[in-house]
Amino acid sequence: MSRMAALLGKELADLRNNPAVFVPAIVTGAISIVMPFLIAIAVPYFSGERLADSSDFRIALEIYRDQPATRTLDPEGAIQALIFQQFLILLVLTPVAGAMSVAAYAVVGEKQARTLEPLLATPITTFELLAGKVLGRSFPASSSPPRALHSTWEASRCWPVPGSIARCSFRARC
Amino acid sequence: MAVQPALIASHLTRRFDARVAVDDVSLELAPGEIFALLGPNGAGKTTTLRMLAGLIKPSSGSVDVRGRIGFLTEAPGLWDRLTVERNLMVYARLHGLEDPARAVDEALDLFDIGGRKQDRAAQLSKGLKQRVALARTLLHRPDIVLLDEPTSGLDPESARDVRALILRLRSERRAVLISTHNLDEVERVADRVAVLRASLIALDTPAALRARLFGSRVLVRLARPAAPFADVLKRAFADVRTDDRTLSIALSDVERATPGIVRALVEAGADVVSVVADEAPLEEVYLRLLDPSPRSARAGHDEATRFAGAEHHEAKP
Repeated sequence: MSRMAALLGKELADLRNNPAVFVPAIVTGAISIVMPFLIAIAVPYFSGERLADSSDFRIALEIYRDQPATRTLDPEGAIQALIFQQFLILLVLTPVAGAMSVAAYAVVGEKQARTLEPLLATPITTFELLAGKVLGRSFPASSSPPRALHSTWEASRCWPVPGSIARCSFRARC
Repeated sequence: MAVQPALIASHLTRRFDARVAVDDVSLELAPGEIFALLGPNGAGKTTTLRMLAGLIKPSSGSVDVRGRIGFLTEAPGLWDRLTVERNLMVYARLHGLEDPARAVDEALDLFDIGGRKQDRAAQLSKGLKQRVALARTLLHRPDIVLLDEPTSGLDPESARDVRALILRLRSERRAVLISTHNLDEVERVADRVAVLRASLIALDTPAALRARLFGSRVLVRLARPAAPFADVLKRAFADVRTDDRTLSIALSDVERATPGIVRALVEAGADVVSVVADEAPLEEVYLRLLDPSPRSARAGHDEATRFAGAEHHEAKP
């Protein structure tokens, strides 16, 4: 157990000093947060055309106006809620992208850096090695969706536009 | 009472698919012994070390290890983004040391790298990385130390420090096995040598290998031309050669025979300037072992070349 903890500590220290492994997760998270604001708010604002007036969203509007979470919203707010909900699904990919990038380095990286052999020459067991690696690498990946959701919530609270974005995004998260 | 071996490898064989990397290698390593494993690239040295360290399983054969093993891999294998201290601390904990911080401090002091302990490994020179790797290897005070190319790529000063460390390990009664291409290094430190090319070609002390391949000779340099004094020695020794002021005598036991030679020469009126054992360099022993053909022999320790134009005095029947 102590050997696993030693390896886990090393993994976390290694990750802390290697922010590059978080880039895929950050990019995915950033896209899932920024894109709905662009599509639902910035584009209508600058083009002067409301989402509710677009024929592309007519069917979605009909569906969403019947949903409990969006029933009280005006048409523009309901479509904004739809867009935000769709992009929130993208947040699910954030841990996947993060996990893929860090997991790829986990053992293969050790092998490439030629740090695996000295490690294997210690009394560490295969289970301890893999457990330490998995725990060390899963921590940053699993922490990214809550962080992304929190960022979405904070961003939506600060965005002073019509359409009850804050309320909708909060409900969507629930 | 006979010393118990620290490590016994019996009939080790390792195959990678159809290729046999190591074939039926047996060796023993005694405490306080420095054992050198020599061989060309791809001879199976690293594979043998990896089997001895337990990193890979032999296809057949067994390894009996009686003590803790420290394995210095060919590459330093440090985590570049971590500090020197952190690198060692992780290993101290992996080895389950009681006081990891103290063990790390001692290792840092031992290798004189305490001043760089907060540097990231990536910032270190190759020599310093090797020192850190050695510190890591000895952190848990292993009884058996396996060193794969310990001085590879080091400057002469660092290589000398590593050799001094190896000798210190011997004085601490630790068993040391070195895999290396550096024959000079082996010459300086090794008690026994094994030459490997998939299977063991030879295993003995450097002196015994020399004697087996080239015989033992002693060179006696005189103040005057040596030819008149050759006759004095030919009465007792079968192979006496001269070259100007130097006598070369083939001996079966250099240590026992040399005082008598000197005594006989002095009594015959010779002024002896120097007496040295005429040993073939280990490189020539190694090359002869790997390629025992006449071409190799000519390229190697060739007495005819050394005594070019010399008169060869053969023993009388």
